[in-house]
Amino acid sequence: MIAEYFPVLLFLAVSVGLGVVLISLGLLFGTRKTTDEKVSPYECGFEAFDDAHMKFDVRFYLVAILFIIFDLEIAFLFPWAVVLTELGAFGLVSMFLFLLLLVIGFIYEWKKGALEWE
Amino acid sequence: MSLTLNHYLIFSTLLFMVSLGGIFANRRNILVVLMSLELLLLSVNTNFIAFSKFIGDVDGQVFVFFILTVAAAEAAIGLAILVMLYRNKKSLDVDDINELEG
Repeated sequence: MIAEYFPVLLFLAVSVGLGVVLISLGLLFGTRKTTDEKVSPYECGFEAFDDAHMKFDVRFYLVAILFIIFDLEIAFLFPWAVVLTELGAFGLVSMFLFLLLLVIGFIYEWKKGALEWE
Repeated sequence: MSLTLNHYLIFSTLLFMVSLGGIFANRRNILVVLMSLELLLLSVNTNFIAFSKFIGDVDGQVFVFFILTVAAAEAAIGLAILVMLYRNKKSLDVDDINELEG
């Protein structure tokens, strides 16, 4: 069982190695002449207008939270989907009750406007 | 050398110690407290999985599943509280939240 993951480990090692090799090739053969102008941040050609700090938008946080919740829902769905034929009607009804609870939460956040971006 | 139950238990105890130390010794940031709490739950999960494997009982894995759910919900709510706290106090310093004095 564990041994089946060995090709994945190998693949990971090869891809990391490939990335390192390609980047170091660029470092080896490329020319690097930096000036202040070159390393300054790019803002469509203009100088930066104001401070780089900006207010954190809570909407991103809300999206992340909702993702965590529905991600967990999927984690519960996976084992259920695999053994559904053995579980029968009882398993089906149980999962549908669980999904019903989640849908109630989903409707709540929809009506609250948590999914509106504008 | 093959892995025995003791190795897992020692490992999870060490994780537990680290996270407890993170909670108690940390005097800077509440975010670190939340991260330590997550580490605490993870060490308990490691314990559950190790016992589940070496005793041969699948109940431990079911417990881990529910603990994962609780940990995610707790992290979500805790972070929401932190966001609101930062909005009001403009700081996440542990020592800045000292309005109640016993």
